[in-house]
Amino acid sequence: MRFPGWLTLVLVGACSSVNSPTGPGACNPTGGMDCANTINAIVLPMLAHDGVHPQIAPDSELCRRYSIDLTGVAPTWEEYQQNCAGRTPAQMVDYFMGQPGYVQINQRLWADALQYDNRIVWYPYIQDLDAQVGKLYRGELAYPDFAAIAVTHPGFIGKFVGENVVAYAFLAFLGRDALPEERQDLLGLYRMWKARPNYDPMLTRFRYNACTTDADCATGRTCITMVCQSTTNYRELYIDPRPCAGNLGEVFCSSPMHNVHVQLAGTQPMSLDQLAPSDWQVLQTPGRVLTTLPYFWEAAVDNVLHKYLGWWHGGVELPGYEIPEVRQALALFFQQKSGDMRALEREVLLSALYLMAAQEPQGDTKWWHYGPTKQMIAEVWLDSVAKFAGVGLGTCDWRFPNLTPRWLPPALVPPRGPIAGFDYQHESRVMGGCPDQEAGFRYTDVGVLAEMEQRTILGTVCGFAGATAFLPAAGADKTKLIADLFRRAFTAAPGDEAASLASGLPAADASTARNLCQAMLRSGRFLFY
Amino acid sequence: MSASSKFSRREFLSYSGVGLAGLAATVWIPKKVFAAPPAAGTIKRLLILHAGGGMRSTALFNADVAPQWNPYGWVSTTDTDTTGAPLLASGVQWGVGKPLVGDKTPLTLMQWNGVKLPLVSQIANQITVLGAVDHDPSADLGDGNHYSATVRMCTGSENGQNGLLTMLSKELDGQHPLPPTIVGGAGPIGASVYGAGLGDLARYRPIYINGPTDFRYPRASGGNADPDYVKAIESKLDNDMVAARGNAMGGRAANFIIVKQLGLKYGAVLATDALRLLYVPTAALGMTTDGKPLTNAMLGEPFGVAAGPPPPGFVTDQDWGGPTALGVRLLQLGAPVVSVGVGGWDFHSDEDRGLPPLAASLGRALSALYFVLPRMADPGVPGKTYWDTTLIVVTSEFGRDNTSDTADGGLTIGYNRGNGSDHHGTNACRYQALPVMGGVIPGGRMLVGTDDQVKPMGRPQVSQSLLATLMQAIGVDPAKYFAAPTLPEVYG
Repeated sequence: MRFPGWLTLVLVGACSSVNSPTGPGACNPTGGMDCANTINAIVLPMLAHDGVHPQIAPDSELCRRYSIDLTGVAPTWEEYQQNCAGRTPAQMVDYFMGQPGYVQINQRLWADALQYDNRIVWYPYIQDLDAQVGKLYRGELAYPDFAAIAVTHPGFIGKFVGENVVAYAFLAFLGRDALPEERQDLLGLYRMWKARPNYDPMLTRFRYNACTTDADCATGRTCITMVCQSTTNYRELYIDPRPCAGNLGEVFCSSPMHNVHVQLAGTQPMSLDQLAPSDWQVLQTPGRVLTTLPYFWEAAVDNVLHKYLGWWHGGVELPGYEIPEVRQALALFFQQKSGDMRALEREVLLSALYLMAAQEPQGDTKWWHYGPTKQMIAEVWLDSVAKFAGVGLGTCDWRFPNLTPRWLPPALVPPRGPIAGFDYQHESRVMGGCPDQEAGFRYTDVGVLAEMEQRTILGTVCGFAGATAFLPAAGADKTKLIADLFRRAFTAAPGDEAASLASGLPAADASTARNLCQAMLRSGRFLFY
Repeated sequence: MSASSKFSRREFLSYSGVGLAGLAATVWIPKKVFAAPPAAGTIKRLLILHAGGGMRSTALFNADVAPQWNPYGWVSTTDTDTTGAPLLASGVQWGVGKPLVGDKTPLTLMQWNGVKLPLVSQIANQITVLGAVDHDPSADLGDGNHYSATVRMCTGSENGQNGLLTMLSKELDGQHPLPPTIVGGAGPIGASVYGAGLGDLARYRPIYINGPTDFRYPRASGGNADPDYVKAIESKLDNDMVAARGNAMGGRAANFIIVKQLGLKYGAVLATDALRLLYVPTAALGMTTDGKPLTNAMLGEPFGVAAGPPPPGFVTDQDWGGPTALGVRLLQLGAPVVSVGVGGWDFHSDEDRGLPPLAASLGRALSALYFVLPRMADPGVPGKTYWDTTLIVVTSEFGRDNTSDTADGGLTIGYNRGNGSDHHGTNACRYQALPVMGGVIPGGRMLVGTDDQVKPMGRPQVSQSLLATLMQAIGVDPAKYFAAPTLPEVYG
């Protein structure tokens, strides 16, 4: 299913402004970090003032951080040697941002923000909205255009009812709920969107009572293979211009706060594929309004800083901290780059706040004095375990939490891995990932049940007969076994402790390796990066 | 206005003298009153059912209000169920919303020798309603923001950082086989906020469980069987990580070690098949009052939980039955407090179709609790049942309003333009009607009712007071956390 016009739409009018920040002091390059970086220009003087001499983290540490953040999986030792060892941070960033995983991990995270739910929203709508996210991270779509498209997309509108369309648009792009008067005000711009039942032959139907003819079935059902079945099976969104027609419609479909209204020519309902590009521009009016509101650019910056630094705007579960000057400067940078998301991310990924080693100086509790530490989300943890073990565990498609044929064609259901009975979606969900976006949403925590689930999973995966990638070669000694597994798990060689750790091993055999697999991947050193 | 429960409730309020007094009470002055509750020492457990998204409590627990605020109607004394029996219990002062009752058909419970499960309206005299719970009586408007209102409800203040269950986890640390536990309601507008915890309290955050589907597969119970070298290496890796990054993420990395220790401590408890409600119908835990093992099939049936082979494909924990039944199991296993969260109450449109089944699901869960708990012997208190020793409450972040955006101003329609309701902070949103029940609670009462425009006819109860009351009920002095007074009136 395609919706002509979306791809070529160019929006203008993203004109909320950001004031220039006032610098805290002179910036001097230090530790391999220059002052051309927007964040460094503010942070390096602050660090100098506090007596902190920032150093870029070892490339093995940075490689793991970049790989997990930018591709959603920890690197192998071989990948480290090939893509990171001896490379500059900029080279590493360019490499990882060029991988398909970079787009995919961001599509997964946006799926949470936009709450994809294929039980409520027809799956092609979600596919298309997800494709728009892909364009954003491939540099094919500017952020304001993406915002305008996303909050007026059937994949988004179909999920929410009434004022919640406005409320969740605000949450996704302004970082806050809309005020009641804002919800009421912007709701008028969505009044042409309507829904009606339709039929998709790729989906199954609801089944009811037995029958021999259609006469045996209630209205809206038809007799197929001796069973009454629904004649429709999904909710199609369409546009009805009539509520907004005429002088009365101009009032009804308006935003008095922003002095805009929406009207389309036509007197009959139109399916989405009948709309012209100019129609879409009208329909995207509430999205364009959103991009002009205060904090639009800053909220985008906050999201990126939170994603890569962890401590920025901690959220309900964690304490938060922020450096307002950094936000302000980055928002200006982002605006000057016309909403180029890749440029914004690159600026953060090459800043001192990201590049410093994560080792905390004794007694120093200022988070911005050292590099970030974050916790893997459930899917990243599972995928990294799979990579370590050399066994596919399956996956969950962020677009489609519901896998039943009633809501998703079987061809779109992700294949399972080779471990019998291993249910990736379920295991991830227990640990806070693969949210159904209906009863449960993503969480990242270190709960008892999640820890127990990790223990159970690792018992299964590390012990799986087909998991041989990490087993020692014949004749390997215990020290080499420890060293190999350290590198494989942590992208780092063990330190001086290798010999003492090795001395405690019963043997350098497969059984020991499988036990070490559990010990290492259960550890906090694997989970946190 | 009917001549049934509506009149008797108003009559009660006027007789009780709180009606006029309440009208004059415009400024709330907190004072600390921490007298021991009448039921001191009796309550051993709390079960908090949290309806995330903003439950339209005027349609459920304060239903005898103007149609604008409850278009669904309420159960009257002349209504009957499908068997012809009275639909409403006698002596009920609060308006029982029709959506709570569902299809009016009492269910026959095959696992319980064909006993009928009463409808929630038929046990309404076991439920007392706090009729006007408000987050901040000094404010001009109620809090209509999902996020801040949830934080207020779950922590007791607008900027609270620690949820009630986290506080209780700290205060009751080590006294129970399981710590406080949350079932469902992940996210910032769900029951999980009862488990928020920062700083010194971060390590006391409760166990979080998505719902019964978390127990689809058997789970390893702990690492005590690991070889010593495995324990040593894992421990070293954990300790190295904490030494290097223990302060990160608000101390979460350091807490990970504590959580792993808790996993070993609680692992065996959580690995029981009794928690596999959906999957192992024969697993049993505890005894009924007539001496039978309480199997998953028996426990699940009143809640509508059908145990059996895992259903194919997508399973959600959105219905109240499964999570609430799981909550009962967790209480049995020793959790002193369980919060069950079910979201989906944010019906800005299509509420007319969406709210009734969700409300009926909640109503059935309340009925099931009243059915099951008195039939479950409390092993810790001879001669008592879980009903005698458990306090149950339903909470939400706010009620619903803004039904005036309609052709007739909502006077008779009771919905907004999209057949839904909103949350703008006016009376019906602001003043929640929240039920409490349990053996120590004299049921059927309406404590501070409202007029039919949802204006309180007495001094509103403060949500922080409700939290303080719950805390005190389980034996913890609330003065350490809350300034608001408790609500001793819930005990009669």
